[in-house]
Amino acid sequence: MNNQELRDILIKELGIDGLPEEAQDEIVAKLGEVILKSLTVAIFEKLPSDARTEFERISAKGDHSLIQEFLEENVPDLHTLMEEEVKKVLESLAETSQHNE
Amino acid sequence: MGNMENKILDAAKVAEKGSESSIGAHILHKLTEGTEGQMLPSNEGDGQGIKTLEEEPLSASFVNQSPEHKDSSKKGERNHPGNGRKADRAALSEELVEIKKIRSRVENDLARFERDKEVLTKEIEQIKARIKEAEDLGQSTIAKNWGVRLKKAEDILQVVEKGAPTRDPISDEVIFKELSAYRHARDRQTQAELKINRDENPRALGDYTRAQAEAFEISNKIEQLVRERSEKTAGAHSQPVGDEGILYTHEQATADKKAWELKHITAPKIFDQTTANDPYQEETVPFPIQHNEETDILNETEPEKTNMEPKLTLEAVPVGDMTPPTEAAEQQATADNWQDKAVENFESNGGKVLDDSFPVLTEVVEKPTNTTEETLEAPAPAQGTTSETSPSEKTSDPVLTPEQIEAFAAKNKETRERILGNITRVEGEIETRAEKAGMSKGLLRNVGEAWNKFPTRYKLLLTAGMAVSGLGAAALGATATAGTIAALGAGLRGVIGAGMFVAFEKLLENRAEKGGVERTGAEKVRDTAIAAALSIFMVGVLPGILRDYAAEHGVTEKVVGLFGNGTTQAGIPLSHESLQGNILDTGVYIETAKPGDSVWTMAERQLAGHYGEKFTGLSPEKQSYIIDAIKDKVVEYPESYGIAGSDASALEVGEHVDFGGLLANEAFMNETFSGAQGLSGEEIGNIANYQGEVVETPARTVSPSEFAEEPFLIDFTAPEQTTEASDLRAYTSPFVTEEITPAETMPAEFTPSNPQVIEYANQQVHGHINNLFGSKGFLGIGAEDGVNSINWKDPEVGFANKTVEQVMNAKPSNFPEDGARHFGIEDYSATEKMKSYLTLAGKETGVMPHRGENVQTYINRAAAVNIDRFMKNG
Repeated sequence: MNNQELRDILIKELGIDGLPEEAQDEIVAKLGEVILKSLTVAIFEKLPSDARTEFERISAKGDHSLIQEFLEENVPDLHTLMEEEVKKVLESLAETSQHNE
Repeated sequence: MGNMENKILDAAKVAEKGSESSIGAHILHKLTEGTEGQMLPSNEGDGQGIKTLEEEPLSASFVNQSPEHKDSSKKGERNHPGNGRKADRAALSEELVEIKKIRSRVENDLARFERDKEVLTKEIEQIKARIKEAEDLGQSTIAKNWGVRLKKAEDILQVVEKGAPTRDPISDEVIFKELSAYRHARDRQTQAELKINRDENPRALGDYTRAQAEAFEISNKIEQLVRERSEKTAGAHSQPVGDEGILYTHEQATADKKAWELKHITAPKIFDQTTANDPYQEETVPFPIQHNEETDILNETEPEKTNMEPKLTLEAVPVGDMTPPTEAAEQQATADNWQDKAVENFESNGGKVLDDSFPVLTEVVEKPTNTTEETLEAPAPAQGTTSETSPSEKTSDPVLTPEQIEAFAAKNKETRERILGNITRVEGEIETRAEKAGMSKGLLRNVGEAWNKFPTRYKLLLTAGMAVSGLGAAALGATATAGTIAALGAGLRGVIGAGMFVAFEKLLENRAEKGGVERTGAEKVRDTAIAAALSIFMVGVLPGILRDYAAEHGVTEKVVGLFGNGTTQAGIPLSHESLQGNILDTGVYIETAKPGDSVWTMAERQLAGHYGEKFTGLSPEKQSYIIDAIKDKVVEYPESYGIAGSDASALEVGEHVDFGGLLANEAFMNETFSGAQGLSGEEIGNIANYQGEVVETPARTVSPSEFAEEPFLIDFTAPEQTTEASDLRAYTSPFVTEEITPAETMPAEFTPSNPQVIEYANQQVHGHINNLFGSKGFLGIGAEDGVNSINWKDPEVGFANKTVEQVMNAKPSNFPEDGARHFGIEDYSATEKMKSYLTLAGKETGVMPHRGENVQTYINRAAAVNIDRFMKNG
């Protein structure tokens, strides 16, 4: 599977295969931003309140290894988190589309 | 009495002898009785010497006989030269009048037709002459106009000819007679069969056989007559024989004939059921009757079915339907006319007439239904679709009108805006959710900004990776090739920042390995996408966190110069952009092909930029060795490095080549540099001899679609982020955009103008180091002065005891193999900080380090010089 095939899977999933390529790119890029933001919020939601402070401290040091360890401890299941957020975004998008049609 | 009349008289005399009731006798009587010496009335009219009977009714000639004749007729009734029967003079007169009327009408029509035809023919000849004249004179427009008139004249002539009684009516009559005979024969055949089955009459078998043979013979005759007529007609189609709309080729007619042939012992058995007779009952009538409601004047009945019901009797034979058609119908039922009609119907039902105008139908031509109209309609102008219902349109692509294109574009625009609007609404929901989670909107905004800094192709790649990961393995497939993983991670690594990205990648990989489960290809893709997403998350979130933290903990956002005097020195803002510069190396490994560029030149540029003196200080042969090693990798897997078309030797202007997978690959680069250093003299000589044969591949113009090709790296290990430079003059710090201008060289010994300068300088440096490596602890607990930290002070790894050159050349791994915590020059993060500090020191003060000067000595000196300069100048 190459890049184009990967892109085509997403295009087809979004149902925008009938649009011009430029429009497809724009939509996909915007969707990526939204997914990323959703993931960010999800990570924050996972962090307990005291852990958030520690996270800030560690982040301020800029020590990546510490950041990684911290996330590993406090956000153990990144895979599931990613899947959940993506599904959440796509489902929200589908609901919004249906509501507006 | 003229010559003509004498001849008629002679003929009448001869006829009289044959029959008393003959017309000839009557005519003789008329002619000889009281008409001698009288001229026969002649019809004059239309200048043809033919008079209409109305002008001088013939009966009048007899009525106006002299009284002597009348008397003699009465007296001589027994003496008239006839057969003794009294002639009804009035009836005969009337008869003759009628005959003459018909004759006159026919002759008039014929004359008129001839006249019209002559006029039209003359006119056509004149028009043709005019056309030729105009063409000779080069008057194309005039010739064209005359051509139009010619066409009209020819059309009229054609109509006249069609309407004229040019056909031999006898032929039609003969055909009709034959047809009647054929029907009679078939009927006798049917009746005989009925007798066979009902009465078991052996004699009926003979009747059946004879009737069958006769019908077959008549059908052949009809076919022959039709063929002859077709041959007479100009442009006639070749030899088709129609069968109630089913037109067979001559070959098919021959085959049909063979089916008619009386086979040996083909007569059905007497006691057989009707099924044995099906072939005989289902014969179609090979008569060229156009079975079409519009022109079906002859109204042939369908062939008898196998129901064996005595539907038809001799009396029921539709002889009446066989009456000669009217003149109009007769014209329509001609050979060529019904062929044309059949072709027309055939084509209207989607059939195709062969090139030789030979219509071939395999189905009965029925009355055009709705499907005819559908097939005749233009194909639906759906984008990318073609009509399949119209055979005549199969080879033509639908052509969109400008209006349709505009409509599509408008629809696409509407769809795009609608979808983007929906995505924005979902984004709003996420922001609401973030607010509830206690996140500031600024953090999400930072994430968005970090995201939007990436080139579109990377964004698409990552989105696809994230979305596909979220969609699950079903969407991605149970297995994903290494290429997919590389496709996701390769270019992103160079864009996001190797440290962060690879760190997260390694994190996820180690986590999986700890679980003892080997990841599938799909899971690897997913993890790569997660790592990339987390990296961007950190990039987007971290600066904001840092800013908030700094504000919360009293750290000023803006640090006024490392060695700042508080006046003109520009502050080094601890801002989002500056920190991002440390984390996010956007495209540092990506080269854009310029005119004349090649992979070689671009690799050379990358090596010089990333390794500086370490590379440029090598001999040309060793440099070539390293460049060649990189080039070979790129050529081997061009797509892995973002080269479109898998042809590294055919770069196009504007094309991107991503060297991150190689230059950021520590193991590969170490091995390559080592290999260069270890070259033997002979090998160096070979390279030197080969130098002249290096072929530069000039970059060509690239198309936008090719430009969007994704990078496709295969190799990726823990990359290194190095921005080293032995000469600070040429060093480009991510903090600064311009090159450090050459600074004046300081003497090794500095004598300040004010003895307190050094003290001030030491204090300033102390503060800087504390900021870099110090720790404030929690509520003061655990606080540590930076100058006392391991990073600074440790004799082995601390920066204080390292030379500037050592620090700038250091490349500690971001993820040490031993997994232990490292410090100072062995720690990636600390080293990066130190490098940035040293770079800034040189820029701010203009003081360059001496060769071999250690870090502490240098920064103290630089600060002292700067402060002393300020104190002197004010």
